[in-house]
Amino acid sequence: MRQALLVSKVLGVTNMNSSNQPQSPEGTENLISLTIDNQSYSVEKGQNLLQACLSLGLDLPYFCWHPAMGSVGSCRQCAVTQYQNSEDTRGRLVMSCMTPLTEGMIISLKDDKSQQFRETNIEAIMTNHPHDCPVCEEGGNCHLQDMTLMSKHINRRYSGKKRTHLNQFLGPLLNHEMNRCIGCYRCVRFYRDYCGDKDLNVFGSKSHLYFGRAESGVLQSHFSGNLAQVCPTGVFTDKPFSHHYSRKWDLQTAPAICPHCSLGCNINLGQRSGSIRRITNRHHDEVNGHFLCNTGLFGYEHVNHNERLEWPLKRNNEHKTTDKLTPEQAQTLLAEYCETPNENCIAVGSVRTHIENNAALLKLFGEQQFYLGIDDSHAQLLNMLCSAYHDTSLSPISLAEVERCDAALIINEDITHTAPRLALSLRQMSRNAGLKQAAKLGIKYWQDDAVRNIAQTTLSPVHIVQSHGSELSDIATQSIILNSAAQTVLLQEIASLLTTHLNSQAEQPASSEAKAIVNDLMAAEYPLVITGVQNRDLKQVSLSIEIANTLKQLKQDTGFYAVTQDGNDLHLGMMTANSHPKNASQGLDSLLKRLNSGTVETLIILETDLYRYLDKSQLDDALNQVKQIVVIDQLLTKTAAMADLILPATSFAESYGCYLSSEGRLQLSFATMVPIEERLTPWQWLSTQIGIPSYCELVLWISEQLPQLKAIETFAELARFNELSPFRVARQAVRSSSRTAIDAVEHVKEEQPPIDLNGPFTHSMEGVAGFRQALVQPISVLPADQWSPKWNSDQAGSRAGVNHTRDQSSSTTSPWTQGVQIFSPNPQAKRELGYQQTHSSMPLESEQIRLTPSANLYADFELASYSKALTSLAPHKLARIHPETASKWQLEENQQIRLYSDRSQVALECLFDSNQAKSTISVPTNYFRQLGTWARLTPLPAQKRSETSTQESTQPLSNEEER
Amino acid sequence: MATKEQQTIPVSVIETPDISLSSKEQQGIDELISHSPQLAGITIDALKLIQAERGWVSDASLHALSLYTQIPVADLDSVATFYNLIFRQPVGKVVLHPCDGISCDLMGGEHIRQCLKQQLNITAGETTPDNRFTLIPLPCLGACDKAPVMIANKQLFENVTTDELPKLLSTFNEVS
Amino acid sequence: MNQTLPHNPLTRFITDDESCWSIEQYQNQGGYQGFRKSLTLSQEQLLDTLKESNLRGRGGAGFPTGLKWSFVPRGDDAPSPRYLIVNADEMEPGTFKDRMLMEKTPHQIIEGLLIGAQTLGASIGYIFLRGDYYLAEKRLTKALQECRDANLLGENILGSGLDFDIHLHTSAGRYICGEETALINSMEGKRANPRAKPPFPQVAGLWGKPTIVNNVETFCNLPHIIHFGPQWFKDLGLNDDAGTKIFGVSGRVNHPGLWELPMGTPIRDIIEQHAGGMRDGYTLKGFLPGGGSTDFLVAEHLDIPMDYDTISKQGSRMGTGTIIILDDRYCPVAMVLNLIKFFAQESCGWCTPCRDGLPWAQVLLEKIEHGEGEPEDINQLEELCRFAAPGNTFCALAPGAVEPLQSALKYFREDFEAHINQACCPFHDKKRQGIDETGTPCIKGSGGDKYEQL
Repeated sequence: MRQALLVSKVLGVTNMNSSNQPQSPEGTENLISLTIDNQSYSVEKGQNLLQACLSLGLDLPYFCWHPAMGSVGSCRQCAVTQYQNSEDTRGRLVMSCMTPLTEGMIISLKDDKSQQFRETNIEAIMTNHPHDCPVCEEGGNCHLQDMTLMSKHINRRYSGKKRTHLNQFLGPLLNHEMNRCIGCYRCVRFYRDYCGDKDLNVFGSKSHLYFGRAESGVLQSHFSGNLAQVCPTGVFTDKPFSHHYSRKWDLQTAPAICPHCSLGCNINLGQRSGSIRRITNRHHDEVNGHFLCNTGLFGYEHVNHNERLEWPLKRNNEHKTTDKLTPEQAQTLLAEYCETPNENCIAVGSVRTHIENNAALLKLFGEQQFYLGIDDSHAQLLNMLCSAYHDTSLSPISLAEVERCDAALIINEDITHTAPRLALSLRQMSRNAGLKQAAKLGIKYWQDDAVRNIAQTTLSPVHIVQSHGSELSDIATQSIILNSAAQTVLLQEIASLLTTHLNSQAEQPASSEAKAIVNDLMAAEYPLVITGVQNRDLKQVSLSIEIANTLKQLKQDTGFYAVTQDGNDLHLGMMTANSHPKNASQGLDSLLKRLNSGTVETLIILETDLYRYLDKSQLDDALNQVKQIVVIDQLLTKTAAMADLILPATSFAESYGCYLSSEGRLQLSFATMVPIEERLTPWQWLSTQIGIPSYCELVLWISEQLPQLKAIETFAELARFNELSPFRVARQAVRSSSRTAIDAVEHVKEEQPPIDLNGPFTHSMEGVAGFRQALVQPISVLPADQWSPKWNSDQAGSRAGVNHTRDQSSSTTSPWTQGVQIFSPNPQAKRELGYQQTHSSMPLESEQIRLTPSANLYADFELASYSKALTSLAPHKLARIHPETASKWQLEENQQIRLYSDRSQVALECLFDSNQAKSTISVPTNYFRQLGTWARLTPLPAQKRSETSTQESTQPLSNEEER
Repeated sequence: MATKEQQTIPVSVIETPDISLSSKEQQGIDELISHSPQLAGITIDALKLIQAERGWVSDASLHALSLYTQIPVADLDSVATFYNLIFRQPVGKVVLHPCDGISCDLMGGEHIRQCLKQQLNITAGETTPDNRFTLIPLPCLGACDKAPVMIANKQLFENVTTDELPKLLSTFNEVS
Repeated sequence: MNQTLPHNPLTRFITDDESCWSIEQYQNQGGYQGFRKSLTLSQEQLLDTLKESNLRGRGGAGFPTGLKWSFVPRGDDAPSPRYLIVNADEMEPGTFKDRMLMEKTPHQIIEGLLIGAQTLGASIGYIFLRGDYYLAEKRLTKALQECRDANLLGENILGSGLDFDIHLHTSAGRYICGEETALINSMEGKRANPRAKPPFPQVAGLWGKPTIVNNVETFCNLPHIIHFGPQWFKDLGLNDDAGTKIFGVSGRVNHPGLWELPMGTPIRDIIEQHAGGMRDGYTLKGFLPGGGSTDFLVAEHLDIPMDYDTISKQGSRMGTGTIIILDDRYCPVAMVLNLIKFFAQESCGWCTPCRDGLPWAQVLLEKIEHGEGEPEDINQLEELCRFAAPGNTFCALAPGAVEPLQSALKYFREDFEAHINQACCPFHDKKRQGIDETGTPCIKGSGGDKYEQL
């Protein structure tokens, strides 16, 4: 396994001379003892010496090593002296990152020889560095600063000229300042080797290295934003952060969960003066590891947006005005609207709000009156997945587990866009075959350069079945592009081939593709099946579950991952499952029917913009039949604009609440800032009516009412945090500037920090550093800001042990840091699936064409679409069609077409794409949601247009201009 | 193929190269590809081939090569800027490589280079305004027993003296 | 010594008319006899012969060739294909021996490769040739074609069942390509950064497959070792080291040139007898025994024999065996500066001591040479020499680069001090005129010029 863990209870260090030997779960055969500066330690085998030293809490400077990217030995900063035996007094220098641990090894970090070398080394590194810390955004959060101080280089002797470079425009996410470069090669290793993207590289040679693009332009990688943290100094810095910059020590941070896609990545959310300034990765071993996607890193502008709702608002039809209400007035009015919830009063839950808020709504209105803010087929798919996880031995695996698999089948989900971090994990997974080859030659996994030289193009098998080309095709063994019907045939073949294996029957005839897939899955030790709800294809998801379930019976170690669509959509699959017949629809299509029945008087909509899902004219008509519309939301959406009463909701930055990821990991997101008085967390708006006054009681109600979410009761203790410990964790990093001097009270004009009564954090630096709390608290949370003595930069989180393994007894098992996995494999799992899908694809009429969604991580997530930097990266809205199919429809390239179904209609320009499945047409996800899985197609008369067609020329017929 | 290029905003759209590969160049590259176990293996040979045809490797040439071979431009340029003998700036008709290795310097090589600079009125790395000569000193040319030496037009000139430089340069003038 | 056995195997085919680059002449002289003999021997026999011969690599490091070859996995389940690469990227300052071998006896290299193919079951050979060696390129290209025509390359060579072909790759020019793993990266179309070891190329080299990289001169020895046997080869050496060596001398001697002489030939013999001694008006001040990356030796070392271990004991290295003479009228600081500048230019930019340490040393040396040095600068130079010591860097380039510097500080320290004390170069009247302002020639392509704002 790739992650090296620490061994002991305290500080991960065991003094072998002391009597209390640690008992690691595996016993001591996994341990190695070594002597560092005359102290004996014992650490886990397999890692390199640098990693071991850092895990032990020792300060050893380094640049090019990275826990996720391994060692290449280029910076030479982590040199230590190794002695052959106890008689050896001279020793020799070794680079600790390149040195495997051996039993009984004797090393020194503090001897003159290695200290001198490290000092000269950093002095050499710094010969070309501009020393522009005061104007550098990395200042105070800089690995190079930390390491320079640690190496004791204080006096500059180099008198030569420094090389200078021109910088490049790299797009809306990153600044480029090449003069600060210290040539550690981390950026290109991350970008090219880790992410598989090709447009960043190193140019030139000797001391004239240049890290950038071949020419100025937008970086293409979905993970480019991580360069700001991967770079140990300020070459790549966070550009949106620049626009509202704050020194790290002025930021208030708290551990939160990314609200966009369904993976549940862990983030640190930094705010100052009530606006979010930046997001950084918060290391989680099992989920996001060290990296986030760009949407996760930069998708926070909705919190600061000028369309944020600040007051409760009431439509005044008499005067044709909008009235501001006080929160009390608003609550009274709300109570009036839905005083006695009855069948004329219905609610719509949200996929982007916390579980607690949906639950409060559910409690108030009851299951029959509670609709899900998603389309019906999405709801059915979530239901199907939840049932599968409940009824079978199948449960989703973590991203870390994904990286351990050795063969994968991806079924019709473009994970590079719907779950980018999963795609990144899959990329690492594909390296396992090469790592295995290297291991045969005795090369450790962390010897990155050596492993890659041995592996060359060797990849673990990845088979992709999809309706259009994928950005993962460069690692794919087979990239099979088929339309939905043909995919179903292929999946059925795979399923029955696996069944023949299971029943030891003679092999059936099948396509070569199916055979190749089954062979690879069967040959693997840890095969993986990935599917998702993106295509709204019940048949395929059901087949995917069947394939994974059969495989699971053949191989105990079978991984499964079903990507859902939104930050918090999976739990909705449980909320209506109890009282409704299986597969009954409770989504927005059903809602529309209900509204059109004309019996609904009050409609309360929680954090859902219905116009994203439904046709404008149809929705307008339906809403017009409702007497009162109440919208609880953060922003003035189109739906909110239709409301009679708008209640402003807190954003994820201002509230405590739970997300359930598509892995089934229930995680609490902490509030970073205190909301303004008029904004309440949605459940608080409802609390009087539901009769639940506190968060704690609400959570306990959920755990009783929704058995699958029982684990949420853990978080009921949030309110007791403050009682449990007198020590509260600082939201602000410790600073060492004059601002803490004795006169600060007179000279520093800053508002008194607010008090947070709900959580374990204080809005000040006058608290406990998080890592320290982890040692003393029975309930520990991650540090609000990654910091430890001498390590001010975010790299502190990269020290192998500091954050997540220091205290195994609490930190690595604490639900506060790790979340709770609610789907445990069912020991009484039935061999057969609990349901039978009878859905067969509806036959299409001749003028109809099957639609497929073309997902895009910058365009598809509602909240992220308020971040300009991200939307500027979204692609043109186009319909992609295979040239052959196009000729059948007599379409020309770039011709305007009209697509219409009984749900909605849209006009788009069509683009010929031979990587699109035949007899299908792909449209942007937002249009796909509105149109459904098929549409009628009519070519529009060719218009005279200039060659440089842009978005403006693609006018949707219905004016649902998407965010 | 649905590449990311097609999906991003216009800023990153790569300009269409104005110089596409000639059929001779294409043939040469096809030949290289047929020999190499992996596509990337042809990079250096392909760059040299382009340079042999065009004198140097322009941005447009890189794009043309990238388009033809599907090797990313950044990869090509990363390699091109690493090696001494791939020229990423235009050079004159004759590239003069006087040796600046130690054996030549011990025998007065530096003086030769100085004279060349004076006569051509350019410094190292520059091209004469008439585009005839580019001066690129190279380290030790491996003819130390004949020092000082110079390579020009694929020809090695041994025991070069300052006196014969004008004549030497004029022979190139005649040739070119 | 037996009259019928040659004492100058490497150059014995070179006739006065220099026509031995053709296959006809080469075969007439007795070429390809070693290869033909190797076809009658088993792989184990060939490898044993090689080990027994005590041949050491002629590229500079002097690693025993037989031992190196024995690391290549053999047997039916060994990875394939296996590659042989001739390191013909001769770029070490002051070294010009391989050029001569390639221009004059290209077939000798091919024969060496063929024997290697027979020994290791390799199926593809590459000659990694320095890009500036145009004549060598021409002759090797022709020789390869001649061999293909004569069924000495290709399938089922001479009916033996051996399949082997050789490709000629001309380098795009970097000194670091002489490092075998950097050379392999370059062969793969990458930047020539050295690779992490282990794995060594013998196990996982080119395209991840077993690969042997040896110097031109090393390969040239093989036909003769196989032909005349290991004992003959060992007997050629005057001391412990076996065989002969192409020695060379450059600098202010009467007859600079190359000579094939027995291993262990005293340095004095090479300089005084073969190179004709110092030119009139010049005295020997010191010399680099084996190219630009070896430590200076001085007159007191003239009587030691040129073999690997003896030179090492004197604090230098045999290197490529081509001696560069420093005379009394050339500034030692300028000489070291020239070399450091070269190595700083040729650093691949991968690891810190080389990438940033060498330019720092260059700045200090320029300061001293321009009369702006301070006493502290010498301490800094010494510190930088320790900084770039073997083991501290990723490959051997930087440790080699500081060898002339560290030894110059030892033997010519008073010259450095004189520069500082007199605030000028004491050799300035003899010095080449007009060093340019930066002193750094701008080599296009290597400097990323377009990115720099000067």
